[in-house]
Amino acid sequence: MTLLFKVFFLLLLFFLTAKSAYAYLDPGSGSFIIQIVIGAFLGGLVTTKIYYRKIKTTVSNILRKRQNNNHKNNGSKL
Amino acid sequence: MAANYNTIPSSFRDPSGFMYSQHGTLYRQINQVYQPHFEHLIKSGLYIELAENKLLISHEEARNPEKIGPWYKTIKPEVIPFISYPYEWSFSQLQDAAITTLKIQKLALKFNMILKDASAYNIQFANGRPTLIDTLSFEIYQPGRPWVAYRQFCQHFLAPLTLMSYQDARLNQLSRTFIDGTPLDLASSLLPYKTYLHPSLLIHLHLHAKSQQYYANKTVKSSKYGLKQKSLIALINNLAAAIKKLKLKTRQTEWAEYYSDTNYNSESFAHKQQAVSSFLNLAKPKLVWDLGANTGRFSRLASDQGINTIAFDIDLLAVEKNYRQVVKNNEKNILPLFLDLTNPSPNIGWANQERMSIIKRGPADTIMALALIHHLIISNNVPLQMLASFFSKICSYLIIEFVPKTDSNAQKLLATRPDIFPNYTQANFEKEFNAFFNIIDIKKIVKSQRSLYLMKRL
Repeated sequence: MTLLFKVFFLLLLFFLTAKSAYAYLDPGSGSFIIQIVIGAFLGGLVTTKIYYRKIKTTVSNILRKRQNNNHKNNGSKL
Repeated sequence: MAANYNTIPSSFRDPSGFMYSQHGTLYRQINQVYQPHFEHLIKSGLYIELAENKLLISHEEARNPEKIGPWYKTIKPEVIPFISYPYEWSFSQLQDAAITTLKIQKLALKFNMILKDASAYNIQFANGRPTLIDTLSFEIYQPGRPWVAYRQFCQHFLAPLTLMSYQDARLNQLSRTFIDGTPLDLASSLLPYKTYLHPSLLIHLHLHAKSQQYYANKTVKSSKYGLKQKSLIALINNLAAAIKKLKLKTRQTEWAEYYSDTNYNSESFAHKQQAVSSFLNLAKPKLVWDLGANTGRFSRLASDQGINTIAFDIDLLAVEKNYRQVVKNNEKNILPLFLDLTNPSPNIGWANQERMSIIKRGPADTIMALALIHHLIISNNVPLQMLASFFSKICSYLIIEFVPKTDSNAQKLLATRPDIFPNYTQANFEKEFNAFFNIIDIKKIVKSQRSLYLMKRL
């Protein structure tokens, strides 16, 4: 997350140094490009979240199984 | 042969079709170019889904319509009682209109369609809730293609809402000057620096504005770039979350008691309500404009009877409070709107015809002007004759309260200025209004110095 924000602030700096001009050729160009950048970023974030959740679930499932096995093993010893 | 229909001046941008009126009925012609999109809208089930959820205005197919130019079909949309504009809406009204637009967009994507425009003018309040009125706003979604209306959405909704939230609610007036929404570079420069720390506002407003400036003189081949549907949905969700998070500042929402009017005790207040109700029963209006409605207590005497009522006020926060009540109680016949009577909404847009002035949207059947005229006469120096003339242009019946100079509220207005209003007397009021109206009835409000008049335009 911190890395992603660093990337955004770098992008911000890049745009801040751009010369200001009035849009008359194609006022949609800038909106078009930024939408793709933002969309890709947010879409990536969603994918990351999904994978993160999947990994988290898998890991916790494995851990739960191990714990259950340990309990079973301990139980059988008693 | 001369055409016997009138094209609506606001529907010229989109080649998909246009609106016209004929014999007092409003029609929308759909041109051949839009046929595949319209067929998809209907056959996919999106239209039914939207219309049933009151998100899109319903329509029926017109019988024997005019077939103008590249005609494909003509529809007759449901009639909206009163057209209003974003510069007349309070914060929550604009916020609800924005949320509705995004809700429609998300639903459209499920049916493989997308909004091709996101103009705030396409949203109108029908039955108390925001509704899309442009049936031709949808096009078939092409996977990978970004949202063409993203810029328009940010300019029409996100920028003004953020300015209203972070700076001042009155900045909604920017949309009266900038007809295609608040320019993002202007919004970015007016917003406080702390908005740079808000990720959604940083990207959709500040970076968006910089990107517009950076690419202003550069050619971008749009076919080179694409946006996955998953990313598009993430973008829409992010916009929706950002808009829902915006709130009016606390100090702006802490209202004083609006009806703590010292001129009225409970007895005279009840008598005034009774008098207004009895006048409404005599006038039998279908459309009422309550000018200076405040939070709409008297407007509801009309709207609660099922009469379409527009509650205008100059105080945006009173309009806000009124609208919240409409939403809370699910009221269908009352529409609170901002209006400065000393400078009412003008005709604006292309050829000064695109968005209608308040006069052009009239006349109302009945106007209510309660506890109002002393403000216009004493604070804005409007002569009685001009006031009567103006009212006669916008109504058939007039319910008007005369507030004499001796009234304590009028005295407050005169406290800091010399009394240059020798003609402001009840006798003169009746004389000047008699030139435009017939006075039908007068009721003296008990335990007050005020009188309520019912008048009919000559």
